[in-house]
Amino acid sequence: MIELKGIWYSYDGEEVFKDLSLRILEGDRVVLLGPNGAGKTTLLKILNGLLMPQKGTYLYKGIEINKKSLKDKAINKWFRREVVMLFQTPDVMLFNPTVYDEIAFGLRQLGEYDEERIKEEVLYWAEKFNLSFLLKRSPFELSGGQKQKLCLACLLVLKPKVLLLDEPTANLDSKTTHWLIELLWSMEITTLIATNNLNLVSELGNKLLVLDENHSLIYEGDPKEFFDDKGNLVKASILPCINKRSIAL
Amino acid sequence: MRDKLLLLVYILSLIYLSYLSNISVLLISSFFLLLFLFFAPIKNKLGLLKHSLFSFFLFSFVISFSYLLLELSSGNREGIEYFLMINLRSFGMTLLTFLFLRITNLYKALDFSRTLTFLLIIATSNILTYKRLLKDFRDALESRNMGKTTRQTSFTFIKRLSLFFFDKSVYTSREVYQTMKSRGFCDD
Repeated sequence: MIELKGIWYSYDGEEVFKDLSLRILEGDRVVLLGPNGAGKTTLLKILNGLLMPQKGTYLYKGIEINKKSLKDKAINKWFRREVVMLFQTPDVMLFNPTVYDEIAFGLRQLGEYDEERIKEEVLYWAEKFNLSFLLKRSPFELSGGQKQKLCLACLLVLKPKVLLLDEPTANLDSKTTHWLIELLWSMEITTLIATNNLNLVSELGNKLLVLDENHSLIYEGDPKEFFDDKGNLVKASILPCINKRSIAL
Repeated sequence: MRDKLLLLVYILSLIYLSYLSNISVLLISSFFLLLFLFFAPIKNKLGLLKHSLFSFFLFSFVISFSYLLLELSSGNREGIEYFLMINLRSFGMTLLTFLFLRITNLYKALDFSRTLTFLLIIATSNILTYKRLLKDFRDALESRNMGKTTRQTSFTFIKRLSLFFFDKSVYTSREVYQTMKSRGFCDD
């Protein structure tokens, strides 16, 4: 479904990814693990077509995603509808005057539904995310957890095929975190979740990608196998150095 | 010491430029500034020049040009000279400022005053945070946008950005002030 072939990406003269390749199949629940600065957000933005690699190929369902192809209105609309991204800071995704308008934004952009149908969809997703009583409120007045839910509702209302989530549990309490995990598993959607929370990896997905601090993909496979070998955590700079000794002992 | 000297030179040059009204002298000053830019040991000279031109264009040229048009429409030809003088002066001052910022370590230049260093820290911290946030805002809009951005969407987006950054700057400044205070920076 998603394939990166030999991606090279640099930012401000600093190389982030060198010859990075990976494949994500339809229905995969992928967790992207790595220390701060490993390039998790950059990788998600590349997969969302927001950052363009200097070299290499990005294929989504066999179609090459690059600046040129995204200039094509039909491809852009199709891709933006199918591959959506939840940003780490929900505030940056919200700009409409009311919660209702925020959820309706994507559907209105699509231009495929009349207002009556849009209302039905908005009410359905607001109900599902327990936001119905907030529909007339401004998104900026909501709590952190509510904003996160609203952002998800805005994305899922489009019925996307791939959901990219950047540290989705970073600002959530444990109750909302578990609500989110259950929600993600209840949906038939391909997910790629960036996190540095080791405790949640096995709950968030069934496939693990690990980036180390040099932005290299050092592991791709089953999460359990990765965690069985504690040396992997040190290799990925996920465990603090002090633990290297205890592992050696 | 080098940075403090550069700060002094910058301030004096700024005062000098702001008093200049002779177009020929202003032209020569701009030429020397461009010459300095060309020979100065700095990276991305073209980028610096672009930034200077863009800022000058946005904040001086566009505004003064509309005044010039008003003047010309009322038959007053003297406005052209004034227009040239204001814009040459403005360009010189902008380029000088960008050059100064590129070649000077502002923290070292202002370390004689705790208050100025404090202000600089707040400003830098805000600029870096805002830069990252602004990029994220734009990326998020691009990610959610499935067609041409309508005028209504742009308007709502800009309104939201302005309000967000205003609130954020008040909040961040308060936070930074408290942090600095807790580290014993402020005496009050």
